[in-house]
This record gives sequence, structure tokens and C-alpha cells, in this order.
Amino acid sequence: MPLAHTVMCMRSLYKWRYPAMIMAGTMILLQVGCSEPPPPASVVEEVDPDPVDFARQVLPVLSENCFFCHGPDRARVMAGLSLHTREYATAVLRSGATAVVPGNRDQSEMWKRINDSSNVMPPVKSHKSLTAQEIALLGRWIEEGAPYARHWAYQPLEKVKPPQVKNQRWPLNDIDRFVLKRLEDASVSPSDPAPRAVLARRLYLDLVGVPPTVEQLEAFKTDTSAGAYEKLVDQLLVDSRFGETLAAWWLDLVRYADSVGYHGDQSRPMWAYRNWVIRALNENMPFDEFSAWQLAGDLMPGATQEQIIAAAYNRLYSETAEGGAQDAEYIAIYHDDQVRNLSEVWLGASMGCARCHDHKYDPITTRDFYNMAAFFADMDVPIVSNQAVNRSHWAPFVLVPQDKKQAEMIKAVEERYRQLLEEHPAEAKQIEILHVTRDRDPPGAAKGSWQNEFRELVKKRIALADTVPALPITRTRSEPRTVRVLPRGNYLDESGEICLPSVPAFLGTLSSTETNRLTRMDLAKWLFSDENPKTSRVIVNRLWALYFGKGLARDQLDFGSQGDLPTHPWLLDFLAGEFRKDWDLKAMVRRMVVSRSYRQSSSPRPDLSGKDPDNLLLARQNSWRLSAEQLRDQALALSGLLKPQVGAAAVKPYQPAGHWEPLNFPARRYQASTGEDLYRRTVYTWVQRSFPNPLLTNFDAPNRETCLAGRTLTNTPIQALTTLNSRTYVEAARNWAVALLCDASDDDERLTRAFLQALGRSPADGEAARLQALLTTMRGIYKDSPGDAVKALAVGASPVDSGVDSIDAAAWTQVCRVMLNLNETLVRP
Amino acid sequence: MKNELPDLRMKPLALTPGQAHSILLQQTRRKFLTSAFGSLGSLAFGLMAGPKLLAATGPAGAPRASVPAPHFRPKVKRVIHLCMAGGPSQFETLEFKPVLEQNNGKPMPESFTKGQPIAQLQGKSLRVLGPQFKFNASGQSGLEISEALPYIQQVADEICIIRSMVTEQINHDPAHTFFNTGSRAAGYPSMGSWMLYGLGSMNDSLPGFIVLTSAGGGQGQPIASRQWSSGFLPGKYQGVKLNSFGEPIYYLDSPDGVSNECQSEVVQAINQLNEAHANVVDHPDVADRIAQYELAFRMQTSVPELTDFSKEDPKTLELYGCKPGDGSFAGNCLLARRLAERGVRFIQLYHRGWDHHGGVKNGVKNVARLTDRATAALILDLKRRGMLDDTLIVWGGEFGRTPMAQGSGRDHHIKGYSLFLCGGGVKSGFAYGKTDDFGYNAAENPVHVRDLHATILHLLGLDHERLTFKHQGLDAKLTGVEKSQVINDILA
Repeated sequence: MPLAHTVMCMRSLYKWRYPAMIMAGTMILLQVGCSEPPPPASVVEEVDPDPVDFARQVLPVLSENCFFCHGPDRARVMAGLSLHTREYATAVLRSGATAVVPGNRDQSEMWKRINDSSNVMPPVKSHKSLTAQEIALLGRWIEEGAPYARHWAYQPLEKVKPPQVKNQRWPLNDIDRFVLKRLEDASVSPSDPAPRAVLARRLYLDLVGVPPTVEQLEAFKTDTSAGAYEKLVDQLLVDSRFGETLAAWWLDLVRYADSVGYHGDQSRPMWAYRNWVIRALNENMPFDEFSAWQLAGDLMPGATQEQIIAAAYNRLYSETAEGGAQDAEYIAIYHDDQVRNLSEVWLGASMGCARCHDHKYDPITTRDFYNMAAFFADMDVPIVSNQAVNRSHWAPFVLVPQDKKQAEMIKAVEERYRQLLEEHPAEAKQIEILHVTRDRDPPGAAKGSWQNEFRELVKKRIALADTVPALPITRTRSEPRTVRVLPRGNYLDESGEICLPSVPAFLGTLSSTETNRLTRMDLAKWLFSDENPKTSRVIVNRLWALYFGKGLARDQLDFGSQGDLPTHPWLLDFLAGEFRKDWDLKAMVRRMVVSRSYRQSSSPRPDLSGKDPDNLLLARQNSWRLSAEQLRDQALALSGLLKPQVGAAAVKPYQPAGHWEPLNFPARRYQASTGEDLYRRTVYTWVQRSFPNPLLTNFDAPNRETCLAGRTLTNTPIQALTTLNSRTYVEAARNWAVALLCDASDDDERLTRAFLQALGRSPADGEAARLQALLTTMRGIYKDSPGDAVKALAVGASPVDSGVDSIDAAAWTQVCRVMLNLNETLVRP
Repeated sequence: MKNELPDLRMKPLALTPGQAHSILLQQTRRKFLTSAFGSLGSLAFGLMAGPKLLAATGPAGAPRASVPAPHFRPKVKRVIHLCMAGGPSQFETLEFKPVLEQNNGKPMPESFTKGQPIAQLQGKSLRVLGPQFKFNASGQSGLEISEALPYIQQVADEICIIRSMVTEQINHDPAHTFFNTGSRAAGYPSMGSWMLYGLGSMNDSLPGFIVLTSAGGGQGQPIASRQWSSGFLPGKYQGVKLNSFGEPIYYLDSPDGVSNECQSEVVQAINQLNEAHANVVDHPDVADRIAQYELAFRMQTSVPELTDFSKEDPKTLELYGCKPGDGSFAGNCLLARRLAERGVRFIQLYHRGWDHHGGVKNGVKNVARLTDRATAALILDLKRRGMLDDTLIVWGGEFGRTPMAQGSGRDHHIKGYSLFLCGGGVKSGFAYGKTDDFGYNAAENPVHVRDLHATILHLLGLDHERLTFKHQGLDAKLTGVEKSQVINDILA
């Protein structure tokens, strides 16, 4: 093997960026900082780079077929062979053979075995097999010196310059240059822009979660000035509904809920935290700060009430109050929950499996897992039976007054309470926690004067918590709990090494020392340091999915070896690089939605149905079914029932009777909200983990027990039943019907208005005729049974308008039900 | 053919050998009749199930793990899981331990309990509690079954008891989750979802995975909908809870003031407008939407028909011991049979009254009163209809109970407990596995929950190693990453 080649391979080991850059044996392209990215291999027509591209071609093959037995889980590798690092792969094995002999295919045991039909690798029982191309690829890779490179997601972020494109007129911003470049390389033309009305509906649904009103639509359609679209974008970005809409995304990630999850699934209202999220998103708090407050707000010098509320993030793990549950076991379970969530939200890697064994595919060790867990060992939280049954405040908590009166109520108590807590941190915390959970003092508690005073204050706070919302918070212990590696996750085994807070070794160097124990604050800082390229990539990818339907890397949760390669790797890195400059969420969203790529029509492209059926090239926008929240909000908005209140308390929309019947300890009966609270935006809905509202889960809303990035959208008959028959949608239909009867003078006008409201367009002739026919039929049906008309108009708690003809209103209600169930209504265009 | 029903009201010997014989005879005749079509039927079943599954897609819709249809010829088409939530005491039901009787009240040998996970008995003195009921050698097979279960005793020759079950979770919620999903942590698909994902549905107007919870009898064990969640599998595979009261399925009934005719008009209009629009936009999703609305409308008729027991022979109601619409476990057993007849793939019944920390004797007696007869009735009813051969029934809890007393009751126990299987592909009148003399550890042929999962899938024609779905980089399986095996010794 020529020396130059070896040098190149070594170089690629350290400096590797995108392998196509080191094409044709030259290195001149590797001019970091201002490199013009060479075209990536098209997903449609795979080019075969020369030399072989390890990270993009070889690693996925090894990971998929070999790592389960020959990967990073060193405790269980077969034959002592791991293939995830060059060092292991090229080492002499116990058998005397060497799996990979760089530059010599025929002496490599791996090559022999993948070609040995009598004793083939991967073995038949693994249900894995290599294709002829994959075998050839591995052979070439060995011949070329078996260079290794880091997985793409772990590569440092370097500056990427947007590519040159042929059609200079198409791009509106840098995003478009990356998208168009791919399209031009594949000789595919982009789609035309969507019609203005469609654009408006798309933009409103994406940014503020409801469709535009007829007036808003009209204003946009008639504004022909340059920059009218950007003006609308800017207007929606400062609309307070923006935060409410984006919050749903964040709350899925951090598994936000108002109950504990396990067993009795007792109430644990967290909505003060949820409202903080909405506020922070609306105020466009930089994402690094937004994250740091949540992970470590309580540790900030002179932590404010807001910072303490934000840090309630750390309390969102599922908790148990089940009798017989043991603290030692649940400390491990809560840590597991916390580490999983942290790694999934901010690192796009699931560290959960490393609790019991080293990761099968990625270099995450059990040690890494427990080191991460140690970051949370400082939290001063009771473990099991934290809360007295029938109460919904979990120690320790902060009182979050909702108005001046409540603020006054708590003022006197809070000041002295905090003062005593500061003066006697250890003992006071103990007294408080036992009072909240058990109504009693710790055994042997002194009855001194401050203790008596503090006890009374604690009792007052408990009483106040019945009126003033009490949010569970994060507070530090004087001594962090000891965290050990639990062999195979066994909490009864105390033989494991003691772990101190450190980040995973393969990701960074930040670790505690004997004298300097790292904190959650250090962790938060590290996430946003230059050493960690993942957070920026992960978040940008998820934002992309919000506005384009799918991530640039399809798997939004897992950026590991087994995750998909991004369709537009340079675009992802370009955006990640931009994002990390100032972590400006709104600017990133704006950049995406003002692009021409975003504005393309989502109409299917029959010309690409064979070439790019999944629209990987982005030759059009995607369309998808609205989320559970958007569907309900849209119905409420169309009907006029929606009662906006930014930062509302947790509310309870209609829910089928008996849905909470299987709950116990204590038994609960769902009491729907009354008045305006019945018609708040859906993001304010109470989330009961064990039995979330079926109105939402039927449309793929999660139960918020685990991190969810990108809901899987399904299409089921149960969904049809929900929008056809549930009280929420029928009540919306009847209110909408009455509004149409009042706002427009004849049926034609009403139909047009209904279409404009729901779909942003007028009905086609055939559509109008079909609905007119339905209307006639319905009027006939209700004339024959006027009692039914009265019943149809009585659905839901909202008052019945006595000023309208009930037969007319009932008939129109059916038309509105049709409108609410049209595919076009259910779908983001 | 006259359907002679056994009278199960008289106990415990209501089922005389003669009656049992007549049921078996009936069954044989039926079997003969159906087998004329049976081979064709099951072949068709095997072929049909395949293509539907298929375009298994990952979260983002990209083609992911491949999911071949039944990997081999299935023994059963469906599973009925009688989930005895709370953890039935094996020592009062399926496992007779004379050593416990002899040591009643004496300290439990420390060699068993030292360093073991213990729930509410943590730190308490541990004393042996003898069995609270007599056990009888039942049926021809002579399986030892407690007299607390007189009806199950009568079907002893139909069932396969596993007395060496092992699980990993000692608290109810995680143990249920573990039993249903193979994982303690939330977010994993339940076994019913896996089956639906692997085999598809056999009915186009009912969900393929249905959950029933029974009412009455002071059932205290809370159950989360996580137990029938599809986890990381697409939501269409999740279990649908069929309610005993009110609408059987949420939002099934047309709204007030909307007649059937009116509803039909509305659905027709929706579908016609969607169809017209589909022609304009040429979007494949629209066709699917139209199909779902048609199905939804059909369900509005098929589901009420399903839950309407009025056409059931009164003798059948008597067999189960239920009244129409009482929401009891017995009623749910009858409903389970009706669901099975309609091709529902996985039917799960929860009865939540088995957590007897105190008063295990009366406790078991009470729950048995509510569940014993109907369980036996379900077995016999399926059998006389020739359906037991292609149905698997699983009866059991998320864990068992300690040989040690907790007052007059028993605490949670995970190192060895009992449950039973019944139906196609499984030996009958058979007991498998043993615990040690004190009933603490599964000492012979331990069966881990994962092994049970592998076996259930096997009976359905699925290889647990190959039924996978790509999740977080792993080819995730019901049986997880640890070793598990089909329990070949219990296969018929």
C-alpha cells in the first residue's frame, strides 16, 4: 500500500469530515473553514465514492450486522472481537487470527468468514446477512487500509459554506442553496410555491397552531407588497400563540405531565413549569439559557423564582408512591429516567440501555451512564411515598402565586420560611419533608423555638398549597447521594464502583475530580460548549421536522450508529453551526419558514413517485395530519368557542365518563372544567400519565412517560369516530353552524365562508352542490323529527342560541361536522 | 345438534365424568367437521396474514425492520390473556406446598431470603404461612389444584400449569409493565401490539387488540393504559379498551339528535368530498382516510351487536354465571368468546382484586367466586365450539406471593410463582417446573417472563428473534436483548 494512501487514511481518522471530501486521493478539498462542500451522494442514485467512505458506507454495515456481538458491549462480545474501533478490529484474537489486517483482505479473518458459506458471518441464527455489494465494500475497505472515522453526529462542527447552484434565482436564503444543489445534482426541479391561501394556512398552523381567520387570510392575500410574506412570519413569531404551539414540541420531549405515572398515578400538577416554558419560548430566551435554567436554574447564584420554576424540569421523572416500593430501587429507576431524558433531549442518543450493559452499537458504557446519573445525585427529594395520599403537593415545593392576592397571601409566610431554611438547611429540610409527606416531625426532632416556628410555617405553606399552586422543585442536599455502577442494573448489588458526575468519555473530557465535584450547572455549560457538537445538530434537526414534516436525519431521537444518515448532511451542519452562534430559536424558525424550500407546494409529484417516493430530496413540501392539539384548537377556533388565555392553569376538557375508573389510591372521578376553561387551548390540558385524555391520545399524543421526538402519525377508524362523534367536535360544529347562520345571509354565502375559514378557499361547484344536497336532506330529516334537532343543538356545555331556527341550525351542524372531518381540514397543507 | 351444556351452578362436582365426556365428544365432532375446511382455512390464514404487515415502517415512514408474516405454521390464531392483576397467591391456587403446612408459623429459613428483593416485608420478621386451602388431585391428570378454584379443578385436564415462573419486578406497576411489554420502563409495546404488528388483524370492523376490565368486587389494583400501549410501535397497534358501561368504545355512538340515517348521510358526504378532492390532489393518504371512515361507520353497527348478549342462549349465560351488561369478569369472559369468534387477535381481561397482603384466605375465596367459574366456562365454551384448538388462554398475575406471612396474607414474590396456559399447541392436564420445598425459588425448569413471551409468539407462528422493529438503533423485540427461549417441553 503506497505511503500516501496510509497517510491519507490516518488523516481521515483525525480530520475526517465528510468522506466525499477526500475523493480521488487528493486532500486539497479538506480546506476547513471555507470549503465548498462537494456534492453528497444522491439518495436516488448512489455514487460509489473512491476510496470507500467509512462513516457513511462501512459503519452502517458493521453496526447493523456485526455490532450486536462484536460491538462496544465488551462484556458480551463473541470471540473477544469488537469491530467498533480500529484498535480492537486489528488486534490479534485469542484464536491467533486477526479480523482486519489493514491492506490485506485475504489475511483478514473477517473477509474469510463473510465469504465462508459453511460457517458464515453474520451467522444464520442472527437473522442478518450481507449482500454481495456489502461484502465487496468491506473487502475494498480492508484493502484500502481499513481507515476508521467517527460517526457523523460526533464530528466537530466546522464551518460549511453554502454551495453554488446553477439556478441563481431560485434560492431565497442559504437553506435553499443546499436544497437546490441536491435537486440539481439529481436533475430534479423544485415545486412551484404553494398558492398564497395555502401558504397562509400552513404558516398559521405551523407557527400559531390555528388557521387564519377569513379577515387575516384576506389581508395576506391582498398584500402584494414585497416582503408581505416575511412580514406575516414576523407577526406570527411575536404572537403569544407561537410559544403555546412550540411548547407542545418541548413538552413531548421533556415528558411533561401533571401526575406521577406509576401505580396510583397521583396528581402532581406541574403546570407552573409548563407556563414558564411557554413564556420563555415567547420571549425567545436563547436555547442554551433555556436549557441551563431547566437543568440547573436552582443552582444559579441568587436563583430567582423563575429559575427555580424552570428547574422543575428535573422533577418530571415518573415517581411512585406504591406501598412496598424500596428507596434503593427507585433511586436507580429515577436516575434511569433522568439520564434517559437528558441524553435523548439534548444529545440525541439513548443512554437508557447502558444502565444494565454497555451500549450494543455506540460507545456508551455503563460507567458513562452512572457518571451521568451522578449529576442528579445532589437532588434533595424523597424517593418513595413522597406525598400523603389525597394531597397533590410533592416535597419540596414552591408556591407559585397566580395573582396579586395570592402573592400577598404567601408573602408573610415565605420570607421567614426561606430565612429559616437558609439558617438551618439540613434540619429544616428534614422537618419540612416529613410534614409534607407524613404530617409529622422527624424522630427526635428538637422542640426549640426556631423549630416550632418553622413547623408552623411549614403547616401554613401546606394549607396555602390548597389555594396557591405548589410546584415540586429541585433543591440540593448537603451531601449528594452515593452513586455506584449497579452490575446489570441490580440495585441490591453494592459492589460497583462509586461514580462521580462526568460526561460520557466518548463525547467529552469534562469529569469530576476528588476535590471538584461537577454539578448540573457544569453539565448544562458543557452541553453548549464547543466540545459537544451534538446538541446543536439534534435540536436543529427537530426544528426542521416541525416545519418540513421529517428531520433531515430521519430518526430524531437517535443520532447513533444505527440512526439514519441525514439526507442533507451539509445543510444540517450548516444550520447547526448557525444555531450555535447565538442559540436563537425564533431566528432559526424564521430562517426555515422564509426559505423557498418551505414555501413549495406540497402537492404530490407524480414525476418523482418512482425516483423519490419519500420526498427525501425535498422537491416539494410535505403535508401531514394535524396534531391532536391543533385539531382541537382548530375546531374551537372555527366555532368561535376558543377562549385564549396565555399561561392558563391546567384545564380539563371533556373526557368520556369512566375513563379514570381504573385509577386508585385514591380513586378519582374526572370533573371537566366549566366556563371558559372548557375552551382553552389544548396545550393547557391536564396530563394524567396513566390515562391521558383519549381525545388526544387517539390522535397520537403521547402519555408523556418517555421522551418523544416526532410523533408517529397514524390513521385509524377510532380517529374518525373521535372527530365525528365526540362532544368536543360536535359542540364545535353546532356553534360554528349558528355563527354561520348569523354571519352570512344565505346558504351559498355560508358555505363559502365555512370553506374559507377551514380551508382558506372557496368550494368548487361540485363541493357546494354536494353540501347543498346534504343540507336539503338534513332539513328534511329534522323537519320530520324536530325533537332530534333540539337534542343535536344541546350537545356540550355552551349555551344554545335561541335566536336561530333549530331545524336550520341542526341541519347546518351536520354540514359543519362534514367540514371538520374533511381530509383537507385534518391536514396541514 | 343439541348443545348439552354442563350445569356449572352446582359445585364442585357439577361436571360429572359423563358430562365432561359429552363435551369432549361434541368437541371431537366439531373438530372433524371443521378440519374438512380447517386445513384450507389455516393455510389461507397463513397466507393472508402476510402481505398486510409488511410495509413495516419506522417512525419517519422510511422502510425499516423487515417483518415477515408468520415465520412458520401457527398453532393458534389468537390469545386471550386473563390478567389476574395484583398477584394471585400460588399457594392458595395452583401450587400445593406441604412443607409450608408443616412449617406454618415457623421462621422462614434465612438462606432463602437473605439479600433478596423484598417488598412490604422489608425489615420484618419472616415466618412461614401454610396453605389456606385444601388441594385436590383433579381430573384424569390429577393436577393438584386448590379447592378455592372448584371450577378450574373441573377443567384440570385442559390446562397446563407452569409452577416455575420468574419475573424481575416486585412492585405492581413495573411488574405489570414487565409482564405485558418485557420491559420495566415505559415506552415499550405490549405483547398484544407486537402480535398485531406481526400478524395483522383478522377482522376489518373491530380493533385487533381489545382490553376489558371487569367491574365489581372491590378491585383495588390500579392499571395504567400503558399496559396496552403500542409503545414505540405505530399507534394503530395499541389496544382498544372496550367499556362495560356507557359507550363500548369511546366516541362510538352517533351524537345526540343524529339518527343512523343522518350519520350515514354525513359520512357519505365526507367520503364523497374526500374522493372528489383526492382526484384533484392525487394524494394516497386520502384513500386511506376514506377507508377509515367507512370502517368507523361499520364499527358503529358491529360493536353494539358484539356487546349485545340478548341472542345468547340463556344456558350459556348460566354457564358463565353472568347477566347481560353487568360488566363482571364473567360477562367479560363471554364477551371474550364473542370477540374471539369475530377474529380479534389479542383479548386481554383484567381482574384487579388479587393483592392479598392481608387475609389471603378470604381474599382468594372472594376473587375466586368472581373469576373461577367464568374461567372454566370460557374454556368449555371455546372447546365445544371447536375454538380452543386455535386459541391460547393465559391465566395469571404479574407476580406471585411469598411463602412467608404478612399478617394473615402474603407479600409480593417474583422468584417462583404459578400461572396456567390452555388451548392450542400446549400440553393439557400437564404441570411444568417446580419451586423448592418452601416454594421460594423456581428450582426446576424456571420459566422467565421472556420465555413465556417467546412461547406465546411461537404458538402464533412467530419467531421472537425475528419479530423486530427498529427503535433507537436496536432491532427491538418483545423478548428484549437478554436470552430467552421457547419452552418446548410444554408444546403439544
